[in-house]
Amino acid sequence: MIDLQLPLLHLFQRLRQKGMKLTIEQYELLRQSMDQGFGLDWESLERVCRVLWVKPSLNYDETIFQREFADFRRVHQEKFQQYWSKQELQAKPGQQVKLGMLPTLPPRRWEQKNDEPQVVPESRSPSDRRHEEDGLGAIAPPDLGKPPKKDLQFEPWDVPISLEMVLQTWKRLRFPLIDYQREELDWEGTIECINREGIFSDLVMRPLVRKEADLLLLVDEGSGMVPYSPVWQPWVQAVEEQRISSAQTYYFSCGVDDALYDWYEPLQAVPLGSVLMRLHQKRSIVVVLSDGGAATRSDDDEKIKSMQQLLQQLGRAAREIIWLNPVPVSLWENTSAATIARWMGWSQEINGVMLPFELRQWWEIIPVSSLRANSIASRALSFGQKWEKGYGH
Amino acid sequence: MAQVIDQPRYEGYEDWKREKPLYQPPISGSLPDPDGRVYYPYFPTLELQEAVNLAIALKRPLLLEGEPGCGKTRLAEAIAHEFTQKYLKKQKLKGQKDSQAQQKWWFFKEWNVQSIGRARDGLYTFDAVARLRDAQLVGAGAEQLKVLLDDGKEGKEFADLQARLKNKSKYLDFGALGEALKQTDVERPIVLIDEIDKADSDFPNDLLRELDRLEFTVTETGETYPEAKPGKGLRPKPIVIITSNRERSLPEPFLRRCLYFKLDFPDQTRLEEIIRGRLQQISDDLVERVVEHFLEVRDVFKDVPGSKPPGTSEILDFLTVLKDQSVEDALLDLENLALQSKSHLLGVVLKTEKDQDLYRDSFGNG
Repeated sequence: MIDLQLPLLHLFQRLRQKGMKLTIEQYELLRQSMDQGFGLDWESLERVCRVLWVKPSLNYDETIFQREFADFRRVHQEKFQQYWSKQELQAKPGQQVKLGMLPTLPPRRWEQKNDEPQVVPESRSPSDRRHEEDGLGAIAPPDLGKPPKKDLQFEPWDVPISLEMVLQTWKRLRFPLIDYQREELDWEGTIECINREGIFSDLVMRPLVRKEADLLLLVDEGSGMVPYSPVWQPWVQAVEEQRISSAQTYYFSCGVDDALYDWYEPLQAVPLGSVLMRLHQKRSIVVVLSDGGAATRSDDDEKIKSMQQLLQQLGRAAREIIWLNPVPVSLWENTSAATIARWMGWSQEINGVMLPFELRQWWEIIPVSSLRANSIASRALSFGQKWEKGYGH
Repeated sequence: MAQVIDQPRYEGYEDWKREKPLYQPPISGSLPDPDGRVYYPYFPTLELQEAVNLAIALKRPLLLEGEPGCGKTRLAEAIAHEFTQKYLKKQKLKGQKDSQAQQKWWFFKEWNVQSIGRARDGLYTFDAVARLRDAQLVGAGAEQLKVLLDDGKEGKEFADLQARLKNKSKYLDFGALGEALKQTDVERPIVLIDEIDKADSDFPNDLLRELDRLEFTVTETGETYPEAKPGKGLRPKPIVIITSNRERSLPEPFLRRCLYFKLDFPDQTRLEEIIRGRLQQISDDLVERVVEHFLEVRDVFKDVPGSKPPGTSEILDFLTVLKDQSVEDALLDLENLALQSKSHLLGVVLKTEKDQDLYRDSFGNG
């Protein structure tokens, strides 16, 4: 018999394992649908799951769904058939059969210590275990965990940045700026003034407050950044998933020429000029993710020069440049990173700063709600006392 | 124990498959509704019908994607029409007079998203200009204004003006989604958010809270809608249909809140059924030949980026033009469609010069 409380949990978990970012809420929607009589045969069940779980996004990919559903159907064909023939007599659309429990996803394995054995919860009843074997009800936790940790292996969760942190950062980066050069009508002020002074009073104007920002994400794909790829993944993910609106990601390697690259397929060079054309002096924020040569201990004058040229061009076209360096600041000295960081600190041509990832609260330099006239970079400079060698100066 | 949930159910597919459909509007179109909309028959697939019923049951927005002209927008109208017919039937069974019942249409609002539109526009707009004008009038001086507005008599208009100025809600104008969300006394209002992909990429994100909680707050007045009415039970949740031509991708948080259905272009049999259901007294032979031809055209166009293959509505328009002549003449026109002399006909289905040239290159005799 099938446990209606957790129908198709196995399929749900398989889809998550295969890369679909389904949430418990989306599983709950399926359960509610089945409670209300939808999905009473294989075709209908597939349609229901598809409407609920497939979206025009790589994280809700139709191909993965189709393949996994077909597999699931092949394995569990008969059992579900028997179940439906019984259910058909009892349930009709529009009728709620029975309210089940909200399933809880098993804890992510990386939250446990690696040497801890996987414990099967004792509360699982024999019928649950049977369903696990059947693939119908509660089932073994999906393999969401990371593989056993090896030394020198970086994972996104090892570095002090997560998708949430990226989004928080972006929220802070794009808070309102006062544009003193432009004004807008202050309705409330004007009405108040008319009430106070009569119809011949003047309109009350106020500086325009703008909350617009575009992101240009530049990711260094040079060899030094290979171990740090998990660092930039949350940023790229945020852009790909449109969590940051109006954003574009480009890749470059140190020793930049006149082009940046769109990723991966097809690998296409985009002339720097066309990227610069899309930037806006008051809106665009450039975030550079690069070790600046610190990871490979390189101190190459040519590369420094080409990076400075790139930064100068970007600085002229954009509002500010935030360079996030995943290598600890203590390892910058005697590498190109130190030279570029110092240059960014004192250069009058660009409004930018290089910040280390290790400075976990680096994004706290950005105020949350107050309007600001000064830039993030200049705030970083005063905050820069906190890291040595005067890179912010 | 089984709990029966009383919620409307869309039967579009089953209805049009009936020999005598119960709820479809006549082929020539329905009477106009209070907003002046005329409804025509709509032929959903079983899958689409099921997706609509899922969205109704789960109280989630239904996001429809598909190429232009495949009937995304018409779906909301079809649901509204069917529910109106069912409502009228129910009233009739209850013994209510037709004359009263006829006045009642199912609540249905459309929000046509513009490229410069903001999410708030669909909820409400606050007429700050009117408020400023009122403030100016009041500021002109009470005695002078009483004479101006009320001819020196009762002073009612002046009192109204003052009252209005004190009550910010008087300057509110609700948009389609706002209207639907603030309803507390109608059953499952329907709202169509059409072509959401036209707007800025922040637009869908700005609607997340409203679509999640199905309520909204007016910043200027601090009021939240729908207003809580103690003892009134659960408020009706709107049925939200959203369409997109996929001109730009939609953000994931927004997608997660929607059910999603991709409307495919109908195959030959279904397309013929749709045409026969929409056009009266049309030759089967002509329908078959035209459909066959334009499916071939679509095959050619699908490999040419930037081209716009003819959709259902274009093929319907084309047949509407042809059906008034004899079948032989119509077929001849179809055969000679690539000729320059038939450009006026070709323009009905292919709307750009580039597409027309592509057609002539692929289907012209010479």
